[in-house]
Amino acid sequence: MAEIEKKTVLVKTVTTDDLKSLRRNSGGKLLLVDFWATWCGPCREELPKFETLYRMYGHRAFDLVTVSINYPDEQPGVLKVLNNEHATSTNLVLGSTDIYAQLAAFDPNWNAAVPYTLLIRSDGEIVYKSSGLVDDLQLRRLIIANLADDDYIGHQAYWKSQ
Amino acid sequence: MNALSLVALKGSVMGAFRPAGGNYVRSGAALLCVVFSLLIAAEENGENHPILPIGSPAPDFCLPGVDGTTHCLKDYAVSKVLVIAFICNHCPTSQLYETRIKQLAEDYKQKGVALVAIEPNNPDAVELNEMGYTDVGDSLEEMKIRAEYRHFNFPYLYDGETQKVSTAYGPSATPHLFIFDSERKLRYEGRVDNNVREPLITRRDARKAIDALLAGNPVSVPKHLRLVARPSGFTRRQDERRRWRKLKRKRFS
Repeated sequence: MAEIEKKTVLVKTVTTDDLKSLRRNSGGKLLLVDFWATWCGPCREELPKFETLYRMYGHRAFDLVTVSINYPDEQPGVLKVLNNEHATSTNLVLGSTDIYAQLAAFDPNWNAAVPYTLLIRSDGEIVYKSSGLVDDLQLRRLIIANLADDDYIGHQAYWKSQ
Repeated sequence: MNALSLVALKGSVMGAFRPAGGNYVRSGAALLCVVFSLLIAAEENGENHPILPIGSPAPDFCLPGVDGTTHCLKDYAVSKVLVIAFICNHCPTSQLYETRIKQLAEDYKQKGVALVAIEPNNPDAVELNEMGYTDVGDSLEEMKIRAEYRHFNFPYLYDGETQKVSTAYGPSATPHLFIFDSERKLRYEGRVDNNVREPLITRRDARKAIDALLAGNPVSVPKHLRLVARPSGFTRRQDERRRWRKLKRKRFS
């Protein structure tokens, strides 16, 4: 934990192209994307849970990307929240005030309401999508069952079975 | 992270293994999870926790179960055979054996065999980065979640608080079975079978032992997969552990 606290929390500004690329998920890992905002209560409630998942599965083929839908000039507030959660995930903020256009670049069918959480396999398939609070246990089980590094043959199959 | 090393003496290829992630050991075809919190306790107390020798009487226990009641050794006095299975939540090998242990309990229930599972790990000893293959950790509350999700058909008891029962039995890994005869003398200890991958199993050691006991015969191979754990340099500063605990609590808030 001390190591996590020592790590610098970073935010990166993104373009519409970056968001299109994020949706394609070409990084070779299972990807959890969390769209959130500083002013969104449920999002703030969930953020530490997602960071916990990243601490659990981040050493495997799993990535967590948080995307704040705050306006660009609200970045100091975004960073403050992320720092408070020791958010060592990849943290993105929008680069333009044209919020809807940027969010549509990620998902044209999304109404831009947060929280919006997606679990995307390394082949681009969405295996979980949630508007509103996630089901933490369901999400964990889906993560174990879909991680890109199936290095214990039989284990993923077990977690895909009920 | 730690210099904990293990040597498999029986049941597979001999050799020393360095656990990846601190608690997994690949030994031949078998991957086991070490009951490593016991090792920490052993080191901190300067004590050893040997595996219960064959022929020993069953150490007594009274432990809380996921069903909300307390289960004691004497509750199973009428059973012809008693199987004590040390399993846990976070270990992927233990998970892979859940189905087989359920089947074991089911198949032998009518024959007078009782199966009781005990979770030996202290949940605080399992750090978040050691939970990469699990949905939940090893606390009693989380055991309830697992038992319900996987429809456990056996009592699942929590010994993570004091680990006294686990220290008395001395499981070296999960899963680790201890099988007692009608007089509650230990007649078999070790693995469930000889392959984690079910289609490759050629010997179901636990079933062989139970069958022998039910038939009034001696168990042909009374020990299997004995692991000797040699803890060294495995300490964790108390303040560091408290910080992890705090972080873990946060996740359920």
